[in-house]
Amino acid sequence: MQKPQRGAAFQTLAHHYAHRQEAARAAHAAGRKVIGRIGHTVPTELIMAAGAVPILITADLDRKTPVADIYVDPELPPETRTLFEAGVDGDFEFLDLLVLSRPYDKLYYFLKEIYRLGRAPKMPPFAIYDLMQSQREAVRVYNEDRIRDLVKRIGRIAAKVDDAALVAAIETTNSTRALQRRLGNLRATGTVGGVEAMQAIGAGYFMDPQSYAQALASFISEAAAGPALSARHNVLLITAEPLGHTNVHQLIEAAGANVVAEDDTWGARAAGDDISTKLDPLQAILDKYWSDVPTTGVWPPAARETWMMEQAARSDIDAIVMYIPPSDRMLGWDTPRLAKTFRDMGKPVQLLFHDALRDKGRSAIASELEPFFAGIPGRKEAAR
Amino acid sequence: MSAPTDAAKAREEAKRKHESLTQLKVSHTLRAYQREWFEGLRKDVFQGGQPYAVVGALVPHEILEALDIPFITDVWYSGLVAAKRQSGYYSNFLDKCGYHRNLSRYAALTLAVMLDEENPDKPWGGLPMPSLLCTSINERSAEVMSAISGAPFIPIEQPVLDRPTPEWWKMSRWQWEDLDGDYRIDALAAQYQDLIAAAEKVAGKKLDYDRLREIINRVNAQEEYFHEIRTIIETAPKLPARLGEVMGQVMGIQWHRGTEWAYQQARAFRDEIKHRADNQMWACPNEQIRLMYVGQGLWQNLDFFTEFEEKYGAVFVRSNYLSIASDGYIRYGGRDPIRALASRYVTMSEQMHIPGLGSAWAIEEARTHRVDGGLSIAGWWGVKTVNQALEEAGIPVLDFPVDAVDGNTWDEQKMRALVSNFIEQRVLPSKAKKNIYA
Ligand code: SF4
Ligand code: SF4
Repeated sequence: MQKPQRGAAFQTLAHHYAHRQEAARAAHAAGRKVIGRIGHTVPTELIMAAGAVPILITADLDRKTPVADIYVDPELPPETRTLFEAGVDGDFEFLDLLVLSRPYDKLYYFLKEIYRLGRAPKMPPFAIYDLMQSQREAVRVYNEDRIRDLVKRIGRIAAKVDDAALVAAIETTNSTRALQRRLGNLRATGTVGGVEAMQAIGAGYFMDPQSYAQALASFISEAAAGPALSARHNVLLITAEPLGHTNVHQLIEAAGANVVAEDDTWGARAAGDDISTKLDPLQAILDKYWSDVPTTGVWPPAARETWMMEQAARSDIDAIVMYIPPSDRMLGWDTPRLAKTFRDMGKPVQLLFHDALRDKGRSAIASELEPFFAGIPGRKEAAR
Repeated sequence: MSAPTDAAKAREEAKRKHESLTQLKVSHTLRAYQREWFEGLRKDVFQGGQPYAVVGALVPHEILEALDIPFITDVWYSGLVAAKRQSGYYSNFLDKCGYHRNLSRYAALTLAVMLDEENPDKPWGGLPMPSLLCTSINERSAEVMSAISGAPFIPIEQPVLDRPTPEWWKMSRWQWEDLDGDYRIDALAAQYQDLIAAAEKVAGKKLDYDRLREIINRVNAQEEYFHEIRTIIETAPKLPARLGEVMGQVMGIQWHRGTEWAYQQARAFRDEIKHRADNQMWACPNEQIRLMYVGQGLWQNLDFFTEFEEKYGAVFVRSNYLSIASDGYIRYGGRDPIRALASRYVTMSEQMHIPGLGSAWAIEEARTHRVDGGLSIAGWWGVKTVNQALEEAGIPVLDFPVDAVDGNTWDEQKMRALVSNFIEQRVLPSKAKKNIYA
């Protein structure tokens, strides 16, 4: 696939996507309060409103995990092991507070215990933000109490959070969401590729919000003025685990296709809808993260799947790839039904069960994708 | 697939062996009741079409009990399939349906039996479609059952234990509002209202809260008998009853907890254990080594626990099942029965493996049961931390590589060799060392 040359704005985004803690560590060195989040349901707006710097903490999955191998069970996601190891090693010491989200409850338990034993003395203060994501009234009071507790906890570490500060933070993140949605449109028209898009979106989790908005805006205007990428199959990617890397996208590009959307907060679902400016700001933030952040905790299935069904129905989507690596314990139960639904819609489906983080898995995936795309008529021919 | 006939043969053989190992009278009365109960279920539900529910192990069965809704528990049913040596067949069947290997089969064999239209030898003739489903929200196979049956699914979202208390069992009976956190109890109680509404529709009547309170108290009383049994096992000079039989008895009663039968059976169980201990009727009179069993039940082969009596005088004295019955279920002072229930289940089972909670408990159990070593089944999150804590406390642990219900992973000879080596190379030397210092 032919790729246009990208300018300084994209280089900035790609740099921070690769060097994930650089900006936050610099802010820490400059005396700012830095609050880490593990998982995408911890609202950045609360951290921003407290005058602190938010940073998403992610796992380095290549990391050796000698201590985690003693304590953490192999059937837990590799992310749990590597983040545990990072905590024990003192990687999070620069944070003023670390907030874990509900999907990381087990990591929370393991860190709690190793800290209690005195074997992870460099862990910063940490807390769990237990947002339940079933879409039903029964969990409302619990969720409302949890976000109020989190506001207090953050306020204790940084500045006290008030409504005016929340409104300002919402304004900032909503304008970033608008930019990210524009980026999504450029993906659909073929001006921005999937691998590039993942970096441009993902950088937002690691950069200061203002600098990110600037860099993203420049990249978008540059890309919009540039040529479209050469035509190839448009792919919708469904993933069983959050994709904090571009491996799957690269493999799909190498096979001559392009991911134009993925059901993942690391990609096309980073923005979602704006946070409402009509409600009480804290309520609006709660609603947004409760109902519009895709995690495996969303229920009922219809709520979990509305977005992917709309995307699958897009006429410009040529194929659907479902990435279900060995760590999956959830999406596999939906897989036969989803694959059938997509096929009934007339969309070719490829299931990938190998691990894109391992060399062996990557070559297995490559050998499955090649014949899959070759078997789909249309666009690829036109590209040659 | 030739599995059913092979399975039938293996089943016959296992049954003969099992019967020759049975020491307890209550094992016979339990089996008789199970047969009778299942016969009733078959008549009323499987043939008569009476609506029934499929539920998880950690949901408030007491509510269904109080509404007279028959129910089966997914993991219990999976255990049943395993005991009939059909778990291998049904695990493969799920593969064929497109459910990949890494998905837990522990609860999902229920779904497999429901989906299977080929096997002529289904356990008890298979399962009709349920009218209500209630499990943990993470049990996606229940969502699939809901989709194929059209029955409503009430998911339970357990609130995270944000303030873990390692020695939880010291608080669980009376101080549960503090132990579990009132806000966590509220969270579950609110979800129970959804379950009650759906269950009332199925039952066609309103929940009687007085009756529910009675049931909760009857469960307390039943678990008190289990507590007595555990105390006898801890303090008697030798083991009065084999672990496989104890586990079978405990679970057989627990699945019917809240009923008058369960209460009476628990009492008879206590009476028999007490009688055996008073009269020095030991499971293995030549008892030399006491082992604990950590983790899920080895349901495909409970008789495995007796294999090491003859050669080593090694007995298994303890499992999670009896001990959690005593430490996990009892809730006193439940004026509000829904809150008492919510507290009973809000950390149920997780307290056995949440790091810190699981290890503190295992060490306490090892101490009170005077064990020399532990056998710990893999495939259970949290178990490594528990094993590590036991090892640090001087209890050697064998990490046993087998899925609790998957018949495909069971290799009798290999398993026997693993345990023998463990006893010879780790337990005996560690015991000898302790004896020197003692
Ligand atoms: S801060 Fe972390 S990610 Fe950034 S360059 Fe240094 S080591 Fe790499
Ligand atoms: S070794 Fe002796 S005491 Fe132990 S079970 Fe065999 S016969 Fe009974």
